[in-house]
Amino acid sequence: MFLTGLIFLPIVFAAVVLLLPQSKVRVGSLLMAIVHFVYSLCLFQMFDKTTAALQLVEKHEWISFFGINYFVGIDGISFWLVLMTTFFAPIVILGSWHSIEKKEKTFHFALFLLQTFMLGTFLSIDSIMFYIFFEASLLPMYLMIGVWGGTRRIYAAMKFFIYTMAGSLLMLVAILALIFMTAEQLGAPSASMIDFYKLQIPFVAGEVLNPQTLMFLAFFIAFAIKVPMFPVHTWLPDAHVEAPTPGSVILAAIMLKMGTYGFMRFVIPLFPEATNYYGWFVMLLGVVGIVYGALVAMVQPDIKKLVAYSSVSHMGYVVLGLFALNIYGTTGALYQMLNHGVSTGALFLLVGIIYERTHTREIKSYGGLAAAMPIYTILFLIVTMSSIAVPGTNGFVGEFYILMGGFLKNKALGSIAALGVILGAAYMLWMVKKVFFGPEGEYVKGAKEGTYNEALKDVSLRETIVLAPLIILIFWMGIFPNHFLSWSQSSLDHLVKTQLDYELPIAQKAEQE
Amino acid sequence: MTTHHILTLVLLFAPVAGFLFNGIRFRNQNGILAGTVATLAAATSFAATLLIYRDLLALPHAQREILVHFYNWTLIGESKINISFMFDTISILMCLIITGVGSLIHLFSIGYMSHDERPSKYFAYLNFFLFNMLLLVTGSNLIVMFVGWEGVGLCSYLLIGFWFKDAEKAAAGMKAFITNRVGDAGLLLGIFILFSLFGTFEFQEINARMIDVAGIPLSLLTAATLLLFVGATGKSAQMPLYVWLPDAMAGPTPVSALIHAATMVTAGIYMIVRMNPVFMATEITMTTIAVIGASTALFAATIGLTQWDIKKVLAYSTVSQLGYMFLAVGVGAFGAAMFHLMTHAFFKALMFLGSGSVIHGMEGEQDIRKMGGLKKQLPITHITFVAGWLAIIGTPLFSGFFSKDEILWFSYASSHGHFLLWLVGVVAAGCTAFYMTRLMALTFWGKSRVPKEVHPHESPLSMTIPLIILAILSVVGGYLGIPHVIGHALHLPNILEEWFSGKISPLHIENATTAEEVLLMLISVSVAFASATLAYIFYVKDTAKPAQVASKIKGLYNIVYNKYFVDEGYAKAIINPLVVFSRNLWLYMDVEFIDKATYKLTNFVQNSAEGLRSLQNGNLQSYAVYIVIGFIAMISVILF
Repeated sequence: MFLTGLIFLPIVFAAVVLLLPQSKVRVGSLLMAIVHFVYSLCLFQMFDKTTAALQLVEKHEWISFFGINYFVGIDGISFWLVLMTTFFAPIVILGSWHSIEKKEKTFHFALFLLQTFMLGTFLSIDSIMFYIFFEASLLPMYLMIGVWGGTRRIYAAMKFFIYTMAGSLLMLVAILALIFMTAEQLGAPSASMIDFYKLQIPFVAGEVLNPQTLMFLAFFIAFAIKVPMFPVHTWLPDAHVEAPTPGSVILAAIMLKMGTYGFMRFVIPLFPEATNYYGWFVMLLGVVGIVYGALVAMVQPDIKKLVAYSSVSHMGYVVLGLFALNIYGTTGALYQMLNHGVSTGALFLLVGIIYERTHTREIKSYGGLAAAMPIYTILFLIVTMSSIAVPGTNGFVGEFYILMGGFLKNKALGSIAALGVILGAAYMLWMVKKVFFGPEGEYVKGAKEGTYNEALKDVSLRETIVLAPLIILIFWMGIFPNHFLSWSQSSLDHLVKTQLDYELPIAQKAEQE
Repeated sequence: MTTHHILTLVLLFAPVAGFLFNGIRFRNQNGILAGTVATLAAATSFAATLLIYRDLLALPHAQREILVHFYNWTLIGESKINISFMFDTISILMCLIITGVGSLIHLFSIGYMSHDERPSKYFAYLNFFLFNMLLLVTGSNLIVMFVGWEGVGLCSYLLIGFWFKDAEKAAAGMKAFITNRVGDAGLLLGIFILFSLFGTFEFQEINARMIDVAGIPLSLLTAATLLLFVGATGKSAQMPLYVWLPDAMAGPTPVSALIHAATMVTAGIYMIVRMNPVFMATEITMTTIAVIGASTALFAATIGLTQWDIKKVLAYSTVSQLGYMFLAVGVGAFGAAMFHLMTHAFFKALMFLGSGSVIHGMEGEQDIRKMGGLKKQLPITHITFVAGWLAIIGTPLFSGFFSKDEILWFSYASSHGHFLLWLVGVVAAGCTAFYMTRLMALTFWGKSRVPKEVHPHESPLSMTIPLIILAILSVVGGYLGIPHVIGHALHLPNILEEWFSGKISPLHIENATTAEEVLLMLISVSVAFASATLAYIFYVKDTAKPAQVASKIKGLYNIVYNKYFVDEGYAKAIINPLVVFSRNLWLYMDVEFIDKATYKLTNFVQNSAEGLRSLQNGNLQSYAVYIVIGFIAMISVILF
């Protein structure tokens, strides 16, 4: 019952939010989100990191005619993503304390709904369930952008929705095809991923019109849009810029990971031949994403858009690492998924903090902010260092192993990807210089002279509390990566070693529960 | 936990403690307290180094290695990354320089930064630099070294841009970081190749594998060492990546002394010496290093001839001297490179601090055209600066003479050497003697050109004591490595060579005689003497002459004065096109092409979906889409 509780507790919370009096919504939500996070921490007790098997499994019949079950479980691949999801809820609630000005109740309702859908995505072992959660998570995010977003919010929300929806429809077709295939090959239809892994899916190298290649493409496109990978990334900058801060944080920290998680859960183990055959091309797209995202980030006039393009670049690393198909790349990719969540999440929170004060994100309006907001500057610099992967921060571990994995797999692509090391520093430091250093810009001057209503106060206690856990994680993950990686190592080893013949066993102990 | 664990912790974490102390109270303006704590932290590290040094000495010569392991950073696949540290003859020498010279520079900073608004922040950064630098040289594997390598780059960035309100200074910090990143990308790739060849990151294991090179693909090994060298050119400011170092002078002057002269910029040399067996196996890389080193030595020295900013002259001089060290490395004279690294750390730190004392005394003025005759007002600074000057121009019996001459000799006599390398080195030495004498003359000698409103004054004791100690070291430091040609006659040992034996690859000298060595030495000393005399005449006796000469060769002078327009070239050839290209990518690729294409696709899908619906063939997915879109529309109507 543990995982079911984990998934559906937020729905209960969402209902509670509707019942709360208006004045108690924020406090109530925060407390509930913390309770949920603490509940999820029990995983450290219950999860056995020595095995790659699926754990804490719960399975109940649902639509037996199609072999669809209520089937949830957790392994080393989903472990950290689940914890990331519960970890970020209290942070965004406290982080958006003053910034959500209208329909507060609906906002927190949507947020908790989103929690359930995201957790469901990471924990579902039944593919139909996965699909439902994957799709359902679009709705609350669509609302967040569309209702609480900026001036072009409707456009951005629609774009976000259509892009991701288009991709996932292809996936649905492929899932249905897989269910039919289980009926043929295993004797009974099943929507369980565990059964999917047992299938022999015909593959013909070099031809498109064969089952494995087609299904590979369907899943690949669906997840590539979600990641997002070049060239289907253009929804992301718009969505990020228009989304309110908490929406941007959740989108970057967790929802993008649903795409790369999909690669790890479906594409790589399910279609091993196609993955190996087309892997170089996916790596190429990843590398193009790294360089392209960085270059375009460099010329952005808007801080938030810059961070959004940096996401394209960082997620390019993740894809490169995953499709290097060796242990270094995969491990680095998983770590980078977490790192990107922490550092980009923190960046969006930081941008939100300054936006609340000045209501602008235009880089050229700033300048000299370091003198006006010294602590904010220090925090921003720390997160910048994490984002550009300076050793000692979390970013380095992920980037290092991804580049190593990529390089060992394909020297040319690995070398081009290393350009990201340079360009990443270029666009971030260029922005830092323009915003924080140099003579006082328009806004800093204005705030001093009292032309603007809000003085440029340094970070408040609340804002510090919001950022502190992320800052701690940046160093903890950077200095003791093994504390984190050891929980996923068995599963990642298993995935890489048996990719061609992947099976996901169910841990015996868990079934007795 | 052995005593060595504890000593290592003290060595590394004393500066971290200082960093935290000053970092947490970064707003505190009590510079004396901040500086004292930071200096004590550095001195504690120095003491720990001495204790480790003592233990190392107690070991028999062949076993002088202390390995200290802490924990496994990561354990992935075949790769195990240890957080562990190695003290051997190479790294302990680096530690002694870093913590010794470092402590003196910390002490100097107390006086130098006494009028600054944010002394605590300054000392926090300085301590943090020390920590990273020690990581770099004591790490037992490439990864720990790389952590320190990037860490010192970060500190350098923060300290160059320390006075961030000045946009130019902030830009200089950024330039340093990004240029270094170019090198770091190469270094990373080099590390990957080494890992693919040897399956380990540990220096000891990699070096041990080089005893028998059979079976190791030479092309990959060459690629690896070349890439490592790319990393070295970034950090140690060699062509073509030296451009950040002159700009780095925007930082406080003690920073220039510590980071941009004595320690950080020598990291590239250290790395190559650390892995000298690997480099020795790759002929192409060795030649490349020697050629780049010699060219940089000459190239930077010529720029130094024309600069007016006291720190800029010293900066180009540093680039040039680092070139000498790479020249030494490239011809296989690793011991000579380490020797020059050490003496250079003494005399260049001395001169940077000396220039700091001058700038401090001149109330911030850095233009040597507005100085002159300062020896009266700044006697201690002057006399110590003279010691540094004599050392760098290679005056016999001063430290620079021994180390530079050893390099020149090996660049000719080593089996990797060449007459042309020697020649370039001697010409560069001539330039060095000229620009340093010019600097001395314009700053300290001749007539005073100091503006009336400035009242030069000697610096306080906390600043002059480090100068005096460094001056003594600049004079006597050379006796650690007396060349054989002199040592044999006097029965003096080459202490440094014995110290390093077994750790660095032996040098092969072919067909060279003692007579040749003496002759070459005489030539280089005479060249230096002649050009120093010329500079003295130009800038003290006949002060109209330099302008006349400059106007005669105006074209050439302008090119050199403008640093061969390298920065402008980079901007035109790389940076500007990249920005334009990126902007086009964004506006045309993203906004115009991809977005428009997807709109078209969406329209097409919509139209065909409508076509399907009119056929009423009950397509399940279309219905799903319509249900969802309908739902969205409903909610939209309600909420928006």
